[in-house]
Amino acid sequence: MDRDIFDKEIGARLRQAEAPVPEGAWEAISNEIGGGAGSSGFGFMGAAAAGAVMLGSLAVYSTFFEPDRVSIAEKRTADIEQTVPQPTAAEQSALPSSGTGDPEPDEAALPVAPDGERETTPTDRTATFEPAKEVKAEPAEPTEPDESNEHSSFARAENTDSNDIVPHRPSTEVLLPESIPATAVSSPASEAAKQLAVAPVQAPAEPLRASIRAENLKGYAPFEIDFEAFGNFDEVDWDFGPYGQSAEVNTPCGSR
Amino acid sequence: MSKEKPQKLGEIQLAEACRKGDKRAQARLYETYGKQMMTVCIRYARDTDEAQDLFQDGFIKVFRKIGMYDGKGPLGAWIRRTIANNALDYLRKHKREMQQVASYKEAYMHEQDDVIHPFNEEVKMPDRDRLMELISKMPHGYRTVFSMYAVEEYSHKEIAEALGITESTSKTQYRKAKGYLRKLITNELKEATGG
Repeated sequence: MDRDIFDKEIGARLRQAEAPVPEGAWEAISNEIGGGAGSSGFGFMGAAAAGAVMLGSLAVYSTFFEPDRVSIAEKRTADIEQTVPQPTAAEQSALPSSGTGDPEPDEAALPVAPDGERETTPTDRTATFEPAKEVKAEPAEPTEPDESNEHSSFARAENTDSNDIVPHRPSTEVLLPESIPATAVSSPASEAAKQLAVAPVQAPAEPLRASIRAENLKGYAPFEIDFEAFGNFDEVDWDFGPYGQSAEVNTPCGSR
Repeated sequence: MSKEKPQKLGEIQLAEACRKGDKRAQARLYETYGKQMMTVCIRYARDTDEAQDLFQDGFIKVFRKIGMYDGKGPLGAWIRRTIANNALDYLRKHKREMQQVASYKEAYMHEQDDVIHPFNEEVKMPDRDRLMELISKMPHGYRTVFSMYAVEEYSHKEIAEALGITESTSKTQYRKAKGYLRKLITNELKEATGG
């Protein structure tokens, strides 16, 4: 159906027709588009700005707080490795048994042993335990050592402070006995600590060995036999059966 | 509000400024096209309140979709189409148009075709304000199809899709609407000439 002249004429006239707009319509429209089309760009920009602020905050946090966490973890790891015998018990007693408390031990709890029990020199003590003063924990008396607690204490200290930076390792790897001098082992913090410390750092004992030698293995009696003991021991007790006993390390038995 | 037309600021620049949220540009666009768009809403609305609602909602859509204006046609035509589409969406949501088209189809079935004859160039047209008054007297179904075809220049196919009717129904409705308007104009002219 083609548009005839009537259609075109009346259409043109009606398109030019005007009617008064309702009062207050522009204000309503303006308010509506103020939060919509007009400000859609601003809304996007606002969201972008908020995102930028969040990213900036994250960057600031990473910049200023992450290094501290790393350094604490490193210090803690260093402390553990340097002060294995003494701080082990201190940390064990300082950390809450639940494992959910503040992982940083208090200064007072750290390896400040009773003065009367000190066996190491102040220099040694300072050199050994000073780094650990930055670690805080609840003051607590050294408790009876528990191997499981000891293990968990180490694990907790590592996991709590170092997070992903210092992976969890078994305590046996931390306790590096060969690198710890015997004087450090004799620290008087507690008998428990001493026991824990001594065991791993005890110098490798020379295996006990008994030597029985005879120059003549054939012939007529009497034969001479030398009994000799080697190794670290306080006493020996040779038992020759019906031929008697001897407590001497080196026992020439003569003709038996 | 000033009466400045957007000649100083080209239509594309005006639309772009509106898209960017320039309040002055938005106000200028509203001043320029607001009154014309109000007539669009009146032609599709059932009453004044509905027309005002359609006007307000339509202009909000205009400003929200102004970025879609590509400058290929007159900005006024694009705004008119946007306003009309918004009104048609409203009608479609309320499923009002189809019912009215059907009812008017029956109501005016008795009309004789000889009453509706093509207008010729000699037909004297009332002025546009009076024409709007006559349009408002048309049954709503007629008015909608007539406005869409004659004023907004939709095709019958587009009208059929918009109103959910067949293209044939759209043509029939428009033909009857035009005859109805002719009668109104004829009576108007008779009254004006005293005949």
